[in-house]
Amino acid sequence: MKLHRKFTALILAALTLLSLTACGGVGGTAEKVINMAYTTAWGSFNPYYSTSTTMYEYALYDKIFDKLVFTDMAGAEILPRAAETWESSADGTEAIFHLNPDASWSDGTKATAHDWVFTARLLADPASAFSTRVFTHTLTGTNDDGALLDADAFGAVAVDDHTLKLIFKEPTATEDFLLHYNRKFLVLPEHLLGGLDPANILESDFWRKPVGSGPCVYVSQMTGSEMVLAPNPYYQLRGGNWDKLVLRVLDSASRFTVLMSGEIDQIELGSSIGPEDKATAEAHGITVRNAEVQNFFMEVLINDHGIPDPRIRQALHYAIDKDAIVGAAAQNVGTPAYSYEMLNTEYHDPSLAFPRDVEKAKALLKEANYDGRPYTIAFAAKRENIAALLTQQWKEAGINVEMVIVDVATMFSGLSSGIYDLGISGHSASAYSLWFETEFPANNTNATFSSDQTRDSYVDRISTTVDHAEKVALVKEYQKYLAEQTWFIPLYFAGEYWVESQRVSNIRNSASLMCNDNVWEWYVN
Amino acid sequence: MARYLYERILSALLTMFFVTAIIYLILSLIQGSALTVMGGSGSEMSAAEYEAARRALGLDLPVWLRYAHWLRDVLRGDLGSSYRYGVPVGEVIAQRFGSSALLVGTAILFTLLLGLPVGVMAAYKPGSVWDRLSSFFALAGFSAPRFITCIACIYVFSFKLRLAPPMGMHNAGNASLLDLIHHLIMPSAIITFGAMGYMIKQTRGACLEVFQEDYLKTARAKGLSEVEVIFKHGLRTALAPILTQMMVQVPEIVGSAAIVEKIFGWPGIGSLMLDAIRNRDTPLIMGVTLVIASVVLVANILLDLAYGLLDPRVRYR
Repeated sequence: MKLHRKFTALILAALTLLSLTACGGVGGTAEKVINMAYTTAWGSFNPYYSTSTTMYEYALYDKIFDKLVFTDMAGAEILPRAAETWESSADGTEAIFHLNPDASWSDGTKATAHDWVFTARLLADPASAFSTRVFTHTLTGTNDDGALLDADAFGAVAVDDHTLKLIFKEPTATEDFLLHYNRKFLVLPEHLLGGLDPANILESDFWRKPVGSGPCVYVSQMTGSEMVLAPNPYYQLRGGNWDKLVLRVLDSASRFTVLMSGEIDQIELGSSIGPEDKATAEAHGITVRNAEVQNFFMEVLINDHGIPDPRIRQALHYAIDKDAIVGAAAQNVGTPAYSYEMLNTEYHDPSLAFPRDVEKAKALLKEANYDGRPYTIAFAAKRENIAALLTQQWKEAGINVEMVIVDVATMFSGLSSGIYDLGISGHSASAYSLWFETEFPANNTNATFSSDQTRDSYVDRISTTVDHAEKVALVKEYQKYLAEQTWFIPLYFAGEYWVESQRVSNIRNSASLMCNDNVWEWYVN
Repeated sequence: MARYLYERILSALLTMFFVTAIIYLILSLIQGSALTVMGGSGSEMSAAEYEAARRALGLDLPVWLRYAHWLRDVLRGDLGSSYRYGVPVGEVIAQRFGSSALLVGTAILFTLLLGLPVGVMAAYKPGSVWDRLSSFFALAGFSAPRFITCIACIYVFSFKLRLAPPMGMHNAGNASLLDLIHHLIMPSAIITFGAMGYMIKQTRGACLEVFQEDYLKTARAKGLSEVEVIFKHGLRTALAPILTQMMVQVPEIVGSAAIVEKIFGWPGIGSLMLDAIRNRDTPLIMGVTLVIASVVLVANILLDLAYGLLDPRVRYR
C-alpha cells in the first residue's frame, strides 16, 4: 500500500511538471513574423535543375528570384513585376519588355536586361548542366530542343540596360508567352554566375545560399522542414511590413487544425477548405474568402495504347455522371467540365457536352466489340472518392474497372508502361489557350496523348496565331476534335474557399495558383 | 569479450550490407524513379532533356552497377548527393539527425521511466485495479493507430485546450530550451504511449515470474523494505527479457516516429525518409537507411553487452 502511494505521488509530480512546462513555453517577439505552411517540402534552390516540378517548388523560387510579370486570376490578369510594360512587334515575332530600372539583386547590385539575357543563354548553352531549357526552343538561334546553334542569332537581346527583347521563331503573342513561361523564367545574376563553367554550374555554392532579385532574401533553412526568409530591401515593388517569413512543412491532414490553433498564418497553394468547414473556420477567427475563379481542373487520364478504340474511350466518358462527381469531390463548389479550357475564358465552348447517357455508352461498347476485359484505374489515396464513384458508374454501363491506390510517381510510371489503363489527375488551369498541352512532357512519360498529326497541327496553328478572334475559333475547333478522340476525360473545374489568419492581410490567394505570391505587399496587422 | 565484440561488429557489417543491397534492389523494382517525378505533370521536359537527365542520374546503368557505385562511395565516406535537395546526403541527414535523436530518445527514456514501474506495479498486485488499468492502457497504447492519435491529440491539446503547439520544433524566433520542450511534449508523448504498451506487458510478464522466486521471500525475511525487494532484487533479474523487448522495439519506435514527425512537422530523419521515398530520391533513402540500420545495430550490440552487466551468468566468449 505504501509502495502504491509513493508511486502515485511520483506520477502526479511528473504530470504537474509536464503541465507546467506546457503552459510556459511560448516566447514573444517584436518582429513581424508571418508563418506559412507548405504541405509539400521544397527541394533544391535551382529552378533549372530540380527533380521535383511541384508548384510548391516554383512558389518558393518565386520569392527569391524575380519574374517578368505577376499573374493573377488564372492568368486573366497580368501585372508588372520586373517588367513595367511589354509589347509585341507588328508581325508577332518579337516581345519587348521594358524593365523596372529600380530592380536590384539582394546584394545591392543593379539587375538589368543583361541578367535576363545571361539566364536565357545559360539555359540554351549546350554545355549547361541544367536539366531544362524551359522556353529557349521558341527563340531564334536554337534547335528544336532549345540548344544554342547560332550565338549571333540568339533570340534574347538586351536592347539597353532596361529593355529586353525576345525574338521568336514563330509569331507568338506576348501574353501567351507570359502565361506559358513566366512561371519558369526566373532571372539569375550574371555578376555571380557569369564566371562559372556552365558544365559545372550545379556545383556552385550559389545554390545553397542564393542571391536573387525577387521580393525575399534567403536567411536559413533546415532542409525540407523549415526556411526563414527576410524581405529584399532593394526590391523594386516593396510595400509590405513584415520582417520575417517562415516557411514550415507540415502534413496536409493537420493543416486546417494547425491554422485554427494560430501556429501558422497562411498555407501555400492549398489553404482551401470545403463548405462544411467554412462556419467552423469563421467561428475561430479565420478569414474565409470565396475563390474568384474556378481553375482547379480534374481529369481522368486514359492510356490510349491500352484502350486504343475511341468508341470505348467515349463510352467511358458517356457513362460518367459529372454532377455526382462534383458533389462528392468538390463539395458542390465545382462545375462539370467538358474540355480543359476554363469556364471564364473566351475559349470555353458551352455547346461541348457529354451528358451522362448510359444507353449510348452501352451502344458504343457493343459497336466497338468490347470484350468485357477489366481495366485498371490508378490514383493517389486522396482521389479515392472520385475513383469509387467512377468505377460504380462505369459498372452500370457494363465496364469493369479495378481500383489501385498508388502514389503519383507510380501512377504516371504505370500508365506509361501500360500497367494501368486509367488514372486520375488534378491540375491548375490557366487562361493560356494551350495550358493543358504543356502539362505533360513530350516523351515516353506522356500517358495521355498519342502522337497524332491532326493534333500537332492544331497546336502549331493555335500557338502561332496572333489574331485573337482567329485563335478563339481555332481553339474551339480543337476542343471538338479532342472530344471526338477522348484521349482524356475532363471531370470538373473547382474553386476554393481561401483561409488565412486575421493577423495577415493583403494576400492575393488566387495568384498563388499561378505560382506567384504578392509577398512584397503582405501585411502583418 | 573483445573477440565477442569483434564478431558482433562483423556480423553487424554483414547485416548492413544485406539490408542496403535488398533496399536498393526493392527501390529499383518499384514503379517510378526520380526521373518520373522530374518529368511528371507540368515539367515540360523535352525528350532530349529527359534522356540527358536519365544519364545524369545514372539511371541508364544496371541496378547492380548503381549499387556497386553507391557502396564504393559509401566506403570512401561519400553518401552521394540528394536528387531532390541537390546537396550532400550527409549534410541533409546531419541537419535532421539531432531532432530525431531528441524525439526518439525522449520517447525511449519515458517509455522506460513510465513503462517499467507501471509494469512492475501491475505484477506486484496482479488482478488489482492498478493491474487492470495498466492492461487497458497498454492495450490502448499498442492498438491505437499512430496517425489517428496524432490528429486527435492536435485537435484536443492544440486546437481545443491550447496546451501544446501542433507543429514544428520551436516557434519562429524563439530558440529557447523551454520552447523546445514545449514542442517536444506532444509528439514524444504519442510515441511513448504506443511503445509503453509493449513495455508494460513485457515487464509485467517478466516480473510476475520473478516475484514468485524464493530469494525475494528471503530478502523480505532479512528485513529489506518493499521498494528494495522489488526494484533492487526482483526487477534486476527481470530486466534481461525486458531488454530483449527493448531491442525488438527500437526499430518499431523509429518507424512510428516517422509518422509522428511527418504529422507534427518535426524536422527529423523519419519524415525526411517518407519524403525521399515519395520523391524516389535513392541516395537520400539509402543514406537514411544506413543511418537507421546503424543505430539499430549499435543499440543491439550495446544491449547485448548490457546483458552481461545485469546477469553475471552471461559470459561472452
